[in-house]
Amino acid sequence: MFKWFKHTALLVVLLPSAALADRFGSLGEPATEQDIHLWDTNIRADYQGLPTGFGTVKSGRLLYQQKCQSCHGATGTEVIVFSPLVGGTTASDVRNGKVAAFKPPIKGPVSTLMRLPTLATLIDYIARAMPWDNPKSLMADEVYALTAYILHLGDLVDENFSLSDQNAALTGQRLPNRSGFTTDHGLWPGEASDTGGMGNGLIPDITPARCMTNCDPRSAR
Amino acid sequence: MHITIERAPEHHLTAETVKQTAVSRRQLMGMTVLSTLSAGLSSIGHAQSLTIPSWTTSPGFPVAKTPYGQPSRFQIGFERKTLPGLSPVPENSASFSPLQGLLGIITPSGVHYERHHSGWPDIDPREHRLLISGVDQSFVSKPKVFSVEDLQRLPSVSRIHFIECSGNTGSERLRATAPTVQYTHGLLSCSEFTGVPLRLLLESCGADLNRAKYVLAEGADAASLTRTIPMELVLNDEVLVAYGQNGEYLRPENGFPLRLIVPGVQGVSWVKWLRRIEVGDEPYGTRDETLHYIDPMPDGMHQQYTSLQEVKSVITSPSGGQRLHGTGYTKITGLAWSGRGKIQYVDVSTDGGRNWKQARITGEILSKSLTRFEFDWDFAGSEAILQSRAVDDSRHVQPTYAQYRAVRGSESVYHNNAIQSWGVDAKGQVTNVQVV
Repeated sequence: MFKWFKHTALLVVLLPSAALADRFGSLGEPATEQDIHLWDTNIRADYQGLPTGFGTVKSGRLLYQQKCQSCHGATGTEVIVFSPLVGGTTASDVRNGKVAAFKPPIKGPVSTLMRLPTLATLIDYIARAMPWDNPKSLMADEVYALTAYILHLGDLVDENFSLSDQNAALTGQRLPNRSGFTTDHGLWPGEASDTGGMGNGLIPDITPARCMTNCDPRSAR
Repeated sequence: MHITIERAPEHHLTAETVKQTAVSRRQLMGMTVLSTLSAGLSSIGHAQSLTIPSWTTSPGFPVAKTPYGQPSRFQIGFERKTLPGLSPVPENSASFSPLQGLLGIITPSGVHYERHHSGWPDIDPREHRLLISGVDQSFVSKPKVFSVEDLQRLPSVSRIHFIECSGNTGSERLRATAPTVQYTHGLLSCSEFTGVPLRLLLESCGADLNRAKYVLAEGADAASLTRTIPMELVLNDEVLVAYGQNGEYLRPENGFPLRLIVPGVQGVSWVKWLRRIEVGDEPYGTRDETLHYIDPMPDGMHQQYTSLQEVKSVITSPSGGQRLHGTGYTKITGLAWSGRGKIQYVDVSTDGGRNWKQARITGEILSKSLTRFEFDWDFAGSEAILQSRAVDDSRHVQPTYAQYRAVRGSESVYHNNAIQSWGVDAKGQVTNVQVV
């Protein structure tokens, strides 16, 4: 009986909105393949959306000097405008997949390659948001070349390396902080990891009591 | 006997004071606290005896003198402020909302805080479009392009919500640094937003809401800022595609013509200048989910996709930089909020957190909205440490710094919701302090 009631209630809630959606179906223009191709250019962390193309460290070096160096410096370790691109990682980090310098206290500037868990993200960001003064101007091959050069500046690939859509995911396995992230926390307001989402289902990690008298403000409990 | 409250010195952070200190932000602000508090502005005077003022003996100005009305010229210092040294690039920076002057819970749109990642675009709404599609056709069977006008024809809802940058109060993670509440807590605002539930648009596009787990929201700014949004908040109709804010169109700095509203979630996910929604089954790991807006923890790991803004409160008056003149009754007032829902209680302590009493709520208590509280206090001319502590309707209690740091450490500039302390000395000078 309870089950039947529950389903009825669900129908009552859902039916009007489905009907409304049909009613407003004429609003908005159908998006063409071309529309979607032009605007849907993001690359997901799992490399979905990666464009076809390739670029070498050598061609990346030239592009970097022309389009990136004024802000990011010749070695990528400089703090000129924003935080550095490379630096702060070790060969042992590359083996472990976790950057040791993140053990507190964190000293010095934190570079892009120190944090970056997936190469898809770097390719995506360069393609859609760089260079700063002319974003979305780079061709796919140029994006691969620049990414390859940054990896080279970070000592992750040699100077004869070429990056492409074919080897991007494999190359990402060299990133020094690829295993340095967790989603096991209480700040994801969506489906929890135990049912296929992320996070612990909003369970707080800090749970103070509401003390009213003679409290100890210095106590961690 | 009565008390007057002297306003905090404004524009007290200059390029010169920044140069005098180290480049690092925490040192910068720590130095400034000590050096600038003696500089003050006089408070509003008290009439000695009644007079018949000139505005009572002659007509005033005509109607519509200012077609878009302006605040009184006597309302001064109620402005967004930037923090010198925060960012070398003003297009990728933040401005802070003047919480110390805010009355009630609604932030006037002109002083809403700002955080832009590549400047704010001045968009002609006739040329703006919103594309809704899927990772592939199986997620959205009828991808569509909406104009702003299309969206305004659809049924709308209006809701009051707070928005807080996850970096709000990040300057205080190690020690008390910023001089005023505008800088400690001013990456916080609250507005009435008007728009269309995103779920309605997704249904209209034939989205497979059973398979969809996430949506990607993308802005039309140069940074193409993108964030992963949980489908649950879309399905329960909390996520809106808004065009209205506080009774008018969104301000350009706040996303005109379209902004995603994600109640309870940090500001970066409220994507401004919204131009694209993609429906999918995996999180996106965008730049602002991997290189920024991630939380380093004591074990050296980073927490990713931390999105919720947890229960928090702050006393806005008396607050840092202000000065109490005289002794006797004064009102303590402030703001409380929680990304989990409604505020249940706010407690106030005047002895640095040893003893607490429940404060009064002065208005409506709305879910995921700012809530105003007040507390009656007699300043005796002796030292005091003022604190507020909020409890939300999930019974989650705002932590002390000791409780906060014991779990999360001090490295993350994000999601600091620890209890703020304002020290009051015997002369009534209020400064930013921490009880540790």
